[in-house]
Amino acid sequence: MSGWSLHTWKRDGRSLRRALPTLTVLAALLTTSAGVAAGAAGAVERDVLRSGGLTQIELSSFEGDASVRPLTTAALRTAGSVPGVRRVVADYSSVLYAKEDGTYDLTSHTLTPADDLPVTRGRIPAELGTDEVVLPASAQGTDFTPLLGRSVTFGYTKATGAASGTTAAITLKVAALYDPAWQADGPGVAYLAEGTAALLAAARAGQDPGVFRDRGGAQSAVVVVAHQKQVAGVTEALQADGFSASPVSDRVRSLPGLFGAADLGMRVGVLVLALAAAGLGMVRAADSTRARIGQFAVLRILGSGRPELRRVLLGEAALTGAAAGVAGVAVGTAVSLALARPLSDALGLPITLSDALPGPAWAFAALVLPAVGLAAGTLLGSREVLRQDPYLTARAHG
Amino acid sequence: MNTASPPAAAAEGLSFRYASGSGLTRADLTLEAGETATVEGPSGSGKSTLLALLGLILSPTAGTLHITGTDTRSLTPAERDLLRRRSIGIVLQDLGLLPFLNAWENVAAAFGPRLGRHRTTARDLLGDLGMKDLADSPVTELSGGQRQRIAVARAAVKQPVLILADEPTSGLDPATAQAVMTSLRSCADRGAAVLLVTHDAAIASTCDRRFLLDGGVLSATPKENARKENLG
Repeated sequence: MSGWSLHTWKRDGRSLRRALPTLTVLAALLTTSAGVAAGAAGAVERDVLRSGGLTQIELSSFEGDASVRPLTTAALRTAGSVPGVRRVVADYSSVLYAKEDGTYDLTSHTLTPADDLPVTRGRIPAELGTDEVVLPASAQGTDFTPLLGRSVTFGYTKATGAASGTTAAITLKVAALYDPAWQADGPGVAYLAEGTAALLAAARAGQDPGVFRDRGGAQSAVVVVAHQKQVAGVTEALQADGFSASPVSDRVRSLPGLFGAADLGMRVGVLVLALAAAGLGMVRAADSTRARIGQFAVLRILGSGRPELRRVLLGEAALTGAAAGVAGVAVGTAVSLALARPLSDALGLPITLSDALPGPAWAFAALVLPAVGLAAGTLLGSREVLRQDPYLTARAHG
Repeated sequence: MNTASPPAAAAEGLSFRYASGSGLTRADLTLEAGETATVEGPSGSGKSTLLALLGLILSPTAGTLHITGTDTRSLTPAERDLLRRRSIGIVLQDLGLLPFLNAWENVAAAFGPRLGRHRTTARDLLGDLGMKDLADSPVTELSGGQRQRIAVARAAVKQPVLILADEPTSGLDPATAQAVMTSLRSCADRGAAVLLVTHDAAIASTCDRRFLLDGGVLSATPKENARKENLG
């Protein structure tokens, strides 16, 4: 960096300082994305840990994928017999809808050990009874609070043909209500015991529950092992048996909805920031050098060589990049912290302020990439103009 | 005039050709410390090219140039830049003041980017030129004559052995032109060799020696020839 850089950067409006606002915005966006993704990851990680996620494995049955073993009764029994497995709970999905009051229709799922519902009222028993249901406190404009502790008759579909069906009724006691912001399985989900969930899913498929479980199988299942050390070994054994198996703790790496976008934005943002900084450097350096050719000629006459002129530009790039990095990280972190509470509400999981701080690697990238990218672009952008002697060029241009 | 030390500048058979074909065909001259000289000639005759060669901004196509005894042919570009920085002051035709610096900072810029270190020297010199009150003024707010004097001050502030001035009095009223010439003369009195390009015969007549550049060839004027004969 040349000593002239500080003077030209501070006082000359044609210097590379002009790239500062754009780079600051990009660095701030990257930092905000990193902060939001880190916040969501932190909250999900805590949730997974709290719900015993470290000792759980998720089995999945991809419909139509012949390479994945369907989660039939026999298959689930096989999974349960793998050494280290304590329990297997299958998830069956269907729909419960209003039979008496209201106009809701709630997706139903099995309450698995992976579901650590934030209960707002009532209590979930250690083993949910086949005649019990856990509902969101509210969904689709319906307040379920008055139903707590009551036995409610819900409707469900019983298929009678390929495109026909009748309505059947089931009476369930509302054991507990949970915070509707918790949407790990989507909005407005009713949680049931495994047998009840299977009954509803079988009816929807127009099959006997036993046949449905034997042939169609569950959508997914949660395998609980005794100790987290066993997760890797059991996962491998299940995969070797043809199951699509993955540790529940991997959920941290696949964040839901908006947070997944922030995670993707963070990764893409690094690339965009680096390329934008380099691109800006090239364009601005070429423009700036051309605009200041007379000034550079004066610096040549005052004794600066061409290498020093290059150092003047590189110094301006370093100052601009560093200022953009520092300002961008500061602004981005502030925005990320300010977003912690609203995002926490949206995710349904508490995001603490320390969660919302961007990871050190990402913050470092946001801090350094503007300067590095701008400097690289500056070297490329100024090459052509500085290859000609500024004194001669200035003279030629009058 | 100090003849014991090597001349401030000594050129022999100096020539330069631009890609366009124009340039300087031949220049032979020696400038001793403490003397003032002018180069006169029509536009496009190569006057500015001669100054750029003597100022080590251009490298000659042919010929030799010694600055205070140093053969500039053997120097690397970095060494040429260093020699220029240390030994040569240049007043450009369009002044070349840096618009983002104020008056004294422009003068101190001759020493390099650490302007604060040379604040006193620069301000004192501006004071000598009658511009003490304008030292902190932005150069964009000064008159042509004031800017001209700042350009002279910048060339002179390091007390170089050679000062090259490209039409330093053009466009100035006679009084201001005289003030600028007085500044340059005082540089010579302090031991610098001063070579200036001018179209003004009155200005040229106040200098010790006069050269004529025509068609790219530098020659002594009749007055200079007479001076040489007298010396001989």
